[in-house]
Amino acid sequence: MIYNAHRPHSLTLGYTIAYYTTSGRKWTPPGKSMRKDLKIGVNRGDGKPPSRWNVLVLDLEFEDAMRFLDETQYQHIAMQVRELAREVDPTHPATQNVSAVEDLFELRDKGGPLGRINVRVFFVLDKQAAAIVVLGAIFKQNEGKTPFGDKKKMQRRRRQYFAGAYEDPRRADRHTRG
Amino acid sequence: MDANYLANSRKELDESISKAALTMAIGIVVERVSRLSSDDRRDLHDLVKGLSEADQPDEVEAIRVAMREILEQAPSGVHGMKREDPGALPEKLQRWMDHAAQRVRKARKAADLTQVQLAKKSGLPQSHISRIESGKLSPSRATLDKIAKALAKPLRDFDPTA
Repeated sequence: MIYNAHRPHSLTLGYTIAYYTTSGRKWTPPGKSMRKDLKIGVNRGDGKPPSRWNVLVLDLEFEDAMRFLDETQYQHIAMQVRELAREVDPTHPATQNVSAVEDLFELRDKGGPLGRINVRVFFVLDKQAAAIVVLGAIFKQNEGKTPFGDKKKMQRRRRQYFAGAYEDPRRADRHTRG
Repeated sequence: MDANYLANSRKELDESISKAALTMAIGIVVERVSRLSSDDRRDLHDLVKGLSEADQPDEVEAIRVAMREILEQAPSGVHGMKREDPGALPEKLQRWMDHAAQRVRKARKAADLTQVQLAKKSGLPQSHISRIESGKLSPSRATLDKIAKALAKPLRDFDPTA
């Protein structure tokens, strides 16, 4: 009997599918290479449909956001982050405006419940935890570039996160809070 | 004792208190900086440098907040966001979602397009459009922009704040 195992391959290409026998040995289908790249179509990591990615939020981000967002605006932004988690590649989503800011990614949104507030949510991908890690949020009254201080702050949070300074993201109860 | 003498004494006392307070504050900062990791010290150095170049109030404020976060070294955590949307939404948000749902559905039907056709034209997933039209999703500006362009309508038709 043969079964296949999914594992993350790359952000843009999707996944690698490898074939194994029940004894655990790799098996090459006749006429095929050992590995076959699939473009899209399977769930990433342990994410279950409809989300492909987990979402981890730094408590500091929540504090940032609540300084300038009301409950309506916060829920709107939370929805956008959940939408990002449905994407195959959250760094190049079809449904959101995301751009790279050096080693970070920035989701920008305005209008609707946000009115004229220009909200920017910073995140990185933790491929090991199959997670979008939301580092923080700021608002701007214009479309200008990200202030240097904010960028530094988010980069430091990124560094701290990957150094394990915050709670272990692989803890079993990490999906319990809203 | 004349009034001038008293005023001068008061001034000298205030100055010496100010000096002592300043010395103490500097001492605390120096002590905190010495306890920082080398990465944090480098960040702090960059921020001090950035402060001298910042010319906008929001830039100065951002630097101040970043410096405080480094110096405070407050412990923080990380939590998981629930995958499903929360059940009860704020009334204002639901009103906006209903408004967007109605505007998108009406404009799509007026253009004689199915959701699949609009999805193809706009580059959005059909499931995304479906959730917007059923009032289950608050669309982002990027999404409304794509829908407006695909339907050749002004953005303002969908979002009055545009």
